[in-house]
Parts: sequence; structure tokens; C-alpha cells
Amino acid sequence: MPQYIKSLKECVLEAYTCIVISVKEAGDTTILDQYVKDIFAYLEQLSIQPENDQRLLVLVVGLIADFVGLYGKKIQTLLALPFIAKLIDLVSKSAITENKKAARRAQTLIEKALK
Amino acid sequence: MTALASPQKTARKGAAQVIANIAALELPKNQWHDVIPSLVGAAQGTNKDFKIASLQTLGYICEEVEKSALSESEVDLILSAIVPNIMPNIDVQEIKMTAIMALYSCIPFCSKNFKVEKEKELLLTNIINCIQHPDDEIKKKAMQCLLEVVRCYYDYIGGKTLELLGHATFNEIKKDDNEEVALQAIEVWCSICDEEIDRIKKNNLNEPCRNYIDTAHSVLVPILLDSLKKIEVEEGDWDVSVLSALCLSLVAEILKDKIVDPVLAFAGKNMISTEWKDKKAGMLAFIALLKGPNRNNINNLIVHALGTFLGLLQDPKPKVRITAAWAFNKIAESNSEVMIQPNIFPTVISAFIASLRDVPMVSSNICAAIHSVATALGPGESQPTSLLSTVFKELLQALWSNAFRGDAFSEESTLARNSFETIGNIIQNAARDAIPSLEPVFKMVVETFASTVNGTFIVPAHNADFQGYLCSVLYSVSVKLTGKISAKMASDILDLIIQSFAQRKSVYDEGIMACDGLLLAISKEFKPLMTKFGPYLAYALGNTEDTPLSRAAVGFVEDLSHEFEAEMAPYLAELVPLIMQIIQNKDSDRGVKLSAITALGDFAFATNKAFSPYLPSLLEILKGASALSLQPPQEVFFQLFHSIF
Repeated sequence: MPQYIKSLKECVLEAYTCIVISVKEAGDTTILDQYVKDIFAYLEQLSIQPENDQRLLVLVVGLIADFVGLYGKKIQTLLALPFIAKLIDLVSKSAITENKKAARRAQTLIEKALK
Repeated sequence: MTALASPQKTARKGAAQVIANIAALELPKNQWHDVIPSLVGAAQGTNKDFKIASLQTLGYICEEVEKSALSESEVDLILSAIVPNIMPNIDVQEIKMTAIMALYSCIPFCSKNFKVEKEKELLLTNIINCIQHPDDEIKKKAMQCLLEVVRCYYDYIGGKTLELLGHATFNEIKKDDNEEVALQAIEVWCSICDEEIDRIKKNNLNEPCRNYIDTAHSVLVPILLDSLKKIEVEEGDWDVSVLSALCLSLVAEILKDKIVDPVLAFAGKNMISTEWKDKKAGMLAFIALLKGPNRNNINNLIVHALGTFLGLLQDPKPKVRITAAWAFNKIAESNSEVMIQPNIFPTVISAFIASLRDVPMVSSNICAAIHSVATALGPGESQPTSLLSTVFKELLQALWSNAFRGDAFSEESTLARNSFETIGNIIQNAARDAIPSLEPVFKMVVETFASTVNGTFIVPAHNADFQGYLCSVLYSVSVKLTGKISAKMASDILDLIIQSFAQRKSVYDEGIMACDGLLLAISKEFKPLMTKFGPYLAYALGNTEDTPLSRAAVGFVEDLSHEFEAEMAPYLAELVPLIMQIIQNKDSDRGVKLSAITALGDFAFATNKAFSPYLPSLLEILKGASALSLQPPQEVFFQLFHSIF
């Protein structure tokens, strides 16, 4: 069961990532707009669950970065939520280079969006 | 209740079951609690049939009701009926048997009783007396009671209780007169081991490991080692030696290096004996150590013992060779790094190739060992060469011949399947320099598959099985030969697969996988083939009850979106509803549902704007899935039966 739940979370995050990239290519966020707040609430919950490992948290960070790439300043309020800074800080301390890169990318994009 | 006193046995039994069923409904509602004192009164009476029927009913009630349905005082009352009827002074076997069976059902309710030393001692003493009873059925049931005690009350079996338990079980393991009881006695220790392994892993201060195995090991280990020689049955069946080996491996997992010396001494002495049972026992002992001790230590031991094992693989006695092959299988599974050392690999693989020709059970185990070694050497495509390349053609040839040998086809033999699975794995893990060797293999597989379709296959009775195996190999080969298979060749193979669907009047999962392999091999050139393949894919996607088929079909569409990219758009109208159906069907396998969600995400990624009409549905699905994923595991488990996930 724990493995299934982990797989379910990863599957959901990867699907959201595909959707965000797809919506960006399509150039129309209308359908996605109404779901963004709930998605960030979900990401916040994932970031505070102790059982979630680095791999999952990196997916969360990556998705946040993709949202920033799509919405930019329009989601400033969401980007200012405290969990995001904490999460990026945590992932940036990973021993894995790829994870650090993901955290740095997210950080850079968020800083730009919050200016 | 009156029916319990009927002179007819069947009437009494029927009444017992009915009363238990009613009690299961009423007791949780806090009703009909007087049924317990009534039954206890009858069980304490002198009418033998009524006593037996009442004890039986009490047992059935304990089987049917939840733990919360009976109060501690009711459990005490039930025990007051049962325990006197299992005491040594009871000489009516039927009464004692019924009472011990009722006790077995009652044990999970007795947590208060096992926390009170005197009550625990009373219960255990009487259970152990029953274990020593001359009647085999009573002995067996009593040992099952002991096993249930250990399972339910691990925290309360320390100290003197552990001594009592040890004494009772060790005696039965050492005796040769009742294998079933001996097996259960070993099972008691397996159960303790399982609990300790679990507690060590969880490292929860509230549920500490109580080190019963450490306490008992100086007596337990020699008894288990001696029991390794009690080899009675055909290969593959459970007997005392097999279960003792399993128990020993669990003990090794807990105690690690602590038991290496005595076990190794036993193994070393017996593996070189002239008696076949000793050789087998020695090998079982050695392999029991694999998951326990320090990894470097055990690898060194394996290297030193390798020569002996290779010798045993050539032993004149088939049972010894079978165990040696099994031992290599286990070593390859858990310590493959030993086998793939450059100075060891050539000798070992050469011995494996020779042993493939041995009896089916040796050959099957060797297939599995080769499978593990190939996995350890892979994945190959990133490597220009590997150890596998040196023996690639020879191995494939040997395994191919193995799959078609006369005794690979018997009902008991899984040799054909094991050989093909190993072929597939070797191909998947082949390094780049082995790939040119795959073109003739590809041709051979296709030709053989064609012969199963056109009726010229050498074993028509096993056509369906072999089509499945060959399709799995076809998948592995096609993926490796990406860019080297022409669209025409792929089309011809697809025609053969479709023909096989028609002949079998069904679409099978390996056939879909083989088509997936062709897709990966020729990528966008598969587009024209979608016209003829489409209906079969749709059928497979719609067949949610067949999990392997569903899984293969969803895997195909995931690859389709990766290969076709934006050209996937025209297929969305047909495929998206089918994928949605898989997700929304409560009976679909939940792993396949996850793949289906991933597939929809892939569709969105590949087709962008073309996916927009389906985006709201996908977002709603993800909303539900994300909410479920945040629930505690027990809640997720419950909701799985009621939600679409």
C-alpha cells in the first residue's frame, strides 16, 4: 500500500507536469486556471508529509518551476507561500546534482516572477 | 439452543453454526450476551454431546465476531469452559479435540489473559500438554494454538514462557514421528523471526525487538541444522528440511555474523560427504546464510565455496545437482556481483551452459541463475561491450535448444517459459557489440512464430504458449534492433500476429507487446499499420478484466505518444475514451489505472492544443487522485474498493 500511494503521487505530479507544458505550448490557460490554486494546495501538502522522499519533492519543485514558466507574475501570491521557499531550500541541499539543479532553476524563475 | 442437545450430530453442528451466525450479528449491537453464559453452562455439564456442541459453538462464535464484541469477562467465561476440557484428566478424545479447536479460535481474544503471568502459564501448560498427546490431530491443533499465541502475543512470550515454548517445539522438531507437527513447530520460530525482522526494520521504540531469537539461537540453530537432513519428499514440496532452511535463513537475517561459524562448519563438512542427503543439507545451510552476514564476508565465502558447488553441479545424483542448481540460482539472485567478476564469470557461465542440458529442474534453476547474471551485467545499451558479449551467441543457442527439448513441454515443466524469459533478458541486457548477433536471432524468432501460425510448428499442442513466449522475445529483439527493421518486415510480422489473434479468437498480451516492439523499432513508420492494428488495440484497451492485456495495451499507447508525438492527435478521439474507461472502471487493476493516467499525461504533452477537449476530464481525475493520495494508507485501502482508484 505505501508503495502504491507513492506511485500514485508520482503519477499525479508527472501528469500535471505534462499538462502544464502542454498548455504552455497550446498558448491557452483558460481550462487550467481554475485548478491552479487547488494544485498548489496539494503541492503544499506533499511538501510537509514526512514520508515523501527526495525524488517526489524534486517532482514538486519541478512542477512549481513549470507553473512559473507558464504563469509568471500572475501567480505571485501562490509563489509567496512559505512552503515553497522551505521546499526549495531542502531540495537544494540534496547530495544529487540533478536535484540541486532543479532547485536552482525553480529559485531563479520564482525570483524573476516575484520582482 | 435446544437443537444443540439433539441426538443427531448433524443437527447439533448445524445449530452451532446458526447460533454463531446470530451471535455475530447480535453481540456487536450489545445484544444476546446471555448466549455466552448459556453455552458455558452447557460446556461445563455432564451431557457429552451437549458439551461438545456447546464448545463447538463457542469456537464458531470466536471465529465469527470481531474482537470488540466480547468483553474480557466473557472471554474469561469462555476460557473457563474450554480450559478444563483440554486438561490431562480429560480422556474423551472428541471433547478434547473440540475444546482445543475452540481455544484456537479464542486465542486472539485473550490479550488480557496473556498479560497475566498465572493465566498465561495455565493456558500454555495445557496447550503444551496437548502437544504431547498421543492423538495426532490433537497434537496438530495444539501446535497451531501455540503458533497463534506467538503470532498474537509476541511481546508476552519472553522469559520462562520462551523456555516452555522452546522445549515444546524443539522436542517435536527433533522427533521423526509426525512431520506435520514438526513443520508447525518450525513455523512457530519462523513466526517469531518474521516479527523480529519486521520490528528491527521499523525500529519503533513502542514495539521493540525482544531478541527471542538471539536468546534461543544456541539451541535452535543446531536443531535446525540437524533437521536439514530430514529430506522426505519430491523436489519443490515442503518438508522439514525445506522449512528448517527457510527458518535458518530468517535467523541469519536477524543474527547476521553470529551464526556464520556453526552454519559454515556444518555446510563445509556435509557438502563434501559421500551421502546425498548430507550434501543437500550442507548446501541448504550455506544458502541460508546469504541474506544475513556482512555482504563482503559472505561474498568471500561464496568465492571459496564455488569450486565445491561447481563439483556438486556434476554430482551423479540428480537430487544433489538440482540443489546445486538451486543454490546457484539463489547466489545469482542475491550476490550476483560474485558471479560477474571477470575471473569467475567464464568458469561459471561455461558450467551453466553445460548444465542447461541436465534434467528439467536443474535446467530451470540454471535458466533463472543466467537470468539474474544477465540482469547484473546490464543494462547493456550504454556499454560498448560486457562479459555477456563473450558468450552471447553460445548462450542464446543453448537456451533456444533448451526451450524446444522434448521434456520442456510437459505440464509440470516450466522449462520452455524459463528458457524464453532468460533469452529475452539476455537480449535486453546485451551490450552494443552483441547487437549484430541479434539479426539472425530476429529472423529465427519470426520464422518460428510464422510456423506456429501456418501450422508447421513442431509441437502443435503448445502453439498458444509458444506464440506468447516468441512474442515476448520478439519484443526484446525488436527494441534492440531499432532502425534496422524495415516497415515492410514490420508489416509482415504484424500480419502474422493478427492472424494468430484470429486463430485463437482472442487478443493476447504478448501479441500486443510484440507490436509495441515493432512500434519502437520503426517509430513513425508504424502509422500506416495503425489501420489494421487499431481494432485489436481498441479491443485490448476495452478488455479491462484481463489485466496483463490491459497493461500491455496501455503500455503500447504510452509508447505511441512518445513515438508519434504531435502526429498522435488523430488518434485521440478513439483512444482517450478507452483510456478514461480504464480509469473509471472500479474493477480495473489499480496499477494499470496509474499507467492510464500517465498515458493521458503523455497524450497532453505530445499533442498540446489537440488535447484541450479532454483536459477538463483529466484535471478532474487528477483532483480525485491527488485527494486520495493524501489519505492515510488504511483509508486509501478502504477507498480503493469504493472509488475509481
